[in-house]
Parts: sequence; C-alpha cells; structure tokens
Amino acid sequence: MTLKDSLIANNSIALQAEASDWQAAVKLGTDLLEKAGVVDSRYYGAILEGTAKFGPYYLLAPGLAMPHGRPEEGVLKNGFALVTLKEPVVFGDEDNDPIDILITLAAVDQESHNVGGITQVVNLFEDEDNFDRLRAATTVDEVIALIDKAEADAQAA
Amino acid sequence: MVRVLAVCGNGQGSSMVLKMKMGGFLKKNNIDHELNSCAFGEYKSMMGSADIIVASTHLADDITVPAGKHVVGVKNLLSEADFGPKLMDVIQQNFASDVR
Repeated sequence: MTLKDSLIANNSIALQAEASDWQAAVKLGTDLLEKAGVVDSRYYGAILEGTAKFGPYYLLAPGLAMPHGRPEEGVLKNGFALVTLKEPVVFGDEDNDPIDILITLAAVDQESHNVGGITQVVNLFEDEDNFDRLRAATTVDEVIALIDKAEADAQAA
Repeated sequence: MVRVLAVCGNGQGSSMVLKMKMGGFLKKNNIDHELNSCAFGEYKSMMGSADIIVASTHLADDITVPAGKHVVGVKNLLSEADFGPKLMDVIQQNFASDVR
C-alpha cells in the first residue's frame, strides 16, 4: 500500500497537533494507527523500548522522524500515519532535533508494501521545500496534493 | 562490485530509506554495486556479503568491522550531500575498480 492510499484509507493524518514531549508525539501517530486497526496497543510501547535500546534510530533528517517497531510488536496490517506538530519536540539527537514531522510506519514484514510506501516517503522529501509546505499544511487535501506532486515529479525525473 | 549494507535499528524503516537513497546515488555515479539492508542485530551475520556498512551516526559508532571492511556514519539519511561524499571517499580509496 502506498503512503497516500494508506493515509486516506486509515484517516491517519493529524496536522499542527500538540505534544509535550517526544513520547507524546510518537503516541499521536500510533494512536491514529491503533484507531484504524493497523496496530494494537503494544506498538507504542515497543517503539519506546526500541528507542531506549538503539536511540532514536528512526530520525531521517533534520525535523523529520519515521517512528516504527518490528512486525511482531503489534502490527496487524501495513500502514502509515502522518503527524505535524505545532511546536517541535526533542528526541535527543543533536543532528536532527528538533522534530515536528512524524511519519509513523507499520509493516507486517520487511519488504511487502514498504517498498512502495517508503518510496513515496523518500519522494515526498526529495524537494526540500516540502518540509516547510507540510509544516504549513492545515488540511488533508493539502498533504495529499503534496504527495501527488512529489510522485509526478519523481515520474518525470 | 562493491557491496553496501544499510543498517538501522530494526531493519525495515530507516535502512530501507537509506538503501533507496544510496541506490539512486551509486547508479548516478556509475558505481558497480550491490545493496542490502538489515537490522542492527543482524549486521554481523550479513558482514560476509558486505564491503561497506552504512548507518546513522549513533548506530555506526557501535558497529565494528574486520580489516578490509568499512563503516560510514550518516546524519541526514535523505541528503546526498551528507552520505554521498563520505561514501565516495571510501569507494574511491578502496574500491576504485568499481567506478566505471
């Protein structure tokens, strides 16, 4: 499943949300996925445990995190959630903090949909201006339009 | 052929992103390469089929490799400007014959 289809099907976008710390920020995404039946309640705790063990290994770039656990840690089906924060939070990684864009990932296995889904994540941030466009977005339609545009650009490249 | 292994905490998120970004970069630079990805807990068993291990900096510090193999730490996984020069340095110094 692609990023776009997953966000629409699961109604899993929250824009300019509020979180007091990084744990609360991660929970915004996992709560959306739990509500959509993509993960069960173990998933949030598993991400916190993984972070304690490996550090925030899912920070992709300055401002951007892709929190995720392992398939056996409560993933029921493949899916994504997208959360932007009104005020950024700190994960304790000087290279990429502070973070205000979180794309939560759930995958039932290593390859399956994520090749398609993660390709869309990568394409979305190919244009660095899309970081700020996402931060400014206040409607789901704006986010979907950004993903569509990024896909069209990737096709044309 | 230079064999590059992307490693992250659990082998399916960041390492997949890194693998995709590096694939585009290596192709563009005409490097004869093979790319794989895995979880931190698996890298030792994958080492036999890898020449260069690439991971985010905080994981890279904890990765040890035998002589003849190399570790590259990356801060911004989405930025060619970050991983590109580091990766090319290692390739040009050690795997120059794979640059076509």
